[in-house]
Amino acid sequence: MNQEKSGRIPGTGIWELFLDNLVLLGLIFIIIFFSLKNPFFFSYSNARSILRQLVPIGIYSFPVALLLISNSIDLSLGAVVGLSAVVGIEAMNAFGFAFGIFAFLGVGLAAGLLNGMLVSYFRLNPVIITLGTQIIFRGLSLSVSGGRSGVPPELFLKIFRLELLGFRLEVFFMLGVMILSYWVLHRNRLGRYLYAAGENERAAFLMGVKVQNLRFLMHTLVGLAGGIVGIISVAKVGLSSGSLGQNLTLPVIIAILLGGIDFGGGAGKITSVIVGVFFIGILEAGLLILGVTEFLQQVIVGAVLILAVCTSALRRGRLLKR
Amino acid sequence: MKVKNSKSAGQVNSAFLTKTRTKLLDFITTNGLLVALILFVIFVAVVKPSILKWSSLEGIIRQSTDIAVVAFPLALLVIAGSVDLSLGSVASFSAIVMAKTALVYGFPIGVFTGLSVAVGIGLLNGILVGYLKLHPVVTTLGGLTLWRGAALLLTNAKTIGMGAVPGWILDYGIGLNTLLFLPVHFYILTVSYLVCWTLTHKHRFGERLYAVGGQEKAAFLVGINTKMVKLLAHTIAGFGAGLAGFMMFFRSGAVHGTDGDGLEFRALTIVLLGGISFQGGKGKMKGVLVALFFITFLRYSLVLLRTPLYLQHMASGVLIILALFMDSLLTQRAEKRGSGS
Repeated sequence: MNQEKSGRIPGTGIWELFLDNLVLLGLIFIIIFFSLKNPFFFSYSNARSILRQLVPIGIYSFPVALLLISNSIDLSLGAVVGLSAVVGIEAMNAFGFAFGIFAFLGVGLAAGLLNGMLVSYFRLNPVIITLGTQIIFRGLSLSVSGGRSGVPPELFLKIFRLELLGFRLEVFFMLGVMILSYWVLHRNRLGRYLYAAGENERAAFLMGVKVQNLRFLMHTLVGLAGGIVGIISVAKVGLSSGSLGQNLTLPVIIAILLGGIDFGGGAGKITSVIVGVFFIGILEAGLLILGVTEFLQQVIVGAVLILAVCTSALRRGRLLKR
Repeated sequence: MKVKNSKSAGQVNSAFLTKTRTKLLDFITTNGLLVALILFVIFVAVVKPSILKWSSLEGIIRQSTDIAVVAFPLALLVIAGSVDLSLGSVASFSAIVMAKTALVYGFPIGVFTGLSVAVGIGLLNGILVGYLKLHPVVTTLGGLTLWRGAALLLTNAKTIGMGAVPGWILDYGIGLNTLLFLPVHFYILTVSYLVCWTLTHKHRFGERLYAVGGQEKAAFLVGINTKMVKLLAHTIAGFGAGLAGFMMFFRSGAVHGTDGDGLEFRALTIVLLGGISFQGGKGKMKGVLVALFFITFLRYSLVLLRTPLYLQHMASGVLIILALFMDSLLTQRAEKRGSGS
């Protein structure tokens, strides 16, 4: 049985097709499951609200996917969102709208710069570093807000709750980020460099790729995305607090792993990440509609993350065989 | 003549000076944390002498035990090139299981069940990381959320376990009773350190840990069952988390599902600050012990000096980054020396 399998040309056969589209099948399965449980689930208005919910995950996932491909990671994602939301709204209330937007993006950018500097120029382990900066960012946002939530001005909510063709602006923004990431990764030389840096750092370096600069750039972009997610989260909730984005880091990582991006870097496609984003977004929304408690939801999200690592390892095993 | 002589004497003198200086530098870099700890204690003693009372030191020991029983086994795990970020949640979960079963079946059975659950979770992590070769960071990140959610789900986020610990045992736990003039926690801390120290430095298992963490492929080729070593290290870490859950239960007689939150991070800071390299295969247990006292003393004095809470949180974030810095500096020095000689 085993021999027969290895004798086949890889990439063909039902089993291979099944493995390649495992996440897509899972996505179809949960859509059917939730629709049977609650007829309201499969409706246009619910699809709209789900889309709105998964936008923050989406905007984050694509840049972070590029970061993971270059073999780094950021675990401070959620904390950056909270910090930029708190600082941005404080600044907006004190100095006006434009300055506040700059503060949102600036804080995200600064956080990304800090992470990137520590990871690429001081060559410190990204997992530990971003765990550390996560704690620092949380502490900072607590010190700025003093534990109170801030109220954004009317103008802010008006602008960022604007709708176009029946969808919020942020949905189009997510599409933009998605297309841009696709273009960078699959249609641009930068994408090749990212794969090279993740696959074999030494070889990439000898090829003339400035690996450390590349990682620094990716960390900075992820930080900037954090600032944008901060704006969107405040617009969604209508309040700013340091705990915004607290439950964002894991879903983003799940989406990326389900998208077949390998944690060791050097592999994965944007199209699969889209499926991953929709999977985790729809799962979260569906659990919410079923009225699952927050705690059970944590259990499920944790279990899905472990499953996602399993699928990612399964695919890697197949790649190595080839 | 004279001039020449004095010059050579000067040379000898300067050579001697540089020698002592490098020696001093070596001492500071190898025992830097110990030096820092001593300086820090002196500083605090000058600023606020009341900290150095016996009752305060006893409190420090009592507080550091639940981190210690996680940090020592975690050090074994990091030496083996793996890591477990779910330890804090596992500690909460096992404490909840402990309290729930203790309320129904009595204290001893409760403790046994809680510890077994923690060992079982450690075993599961070991299978996932060792045998299925999943990435330890992401896998246990999933566990971090999963077990915390489970602990809260079991209790509906309420504090439970009041009255499950028999009164005379609780007296030991909260420090009213002592054993041979020292709190029981002191003995638990010492025993767990000695066990981990023996396993790492005086037992064949320790050699295997270093081999697997340093060069997994080479360790495999010389016939070490690398998967089993990782499995065992994860299981020991799981037991440590269970013990921490026990300490939380034992110390206050009641537990909440978030009691262990952040425990894994604090333990990891201690391990890295203690000179165990995150790359695996490097470091000694005695460093971890010094780091344990350093971190606990720091936390304790920050509280006593009335530092705002967010600063206390941030201090631990800064410390873990500093620990990594130190690690990379030392590695670079060692590499330079290796190529020089």
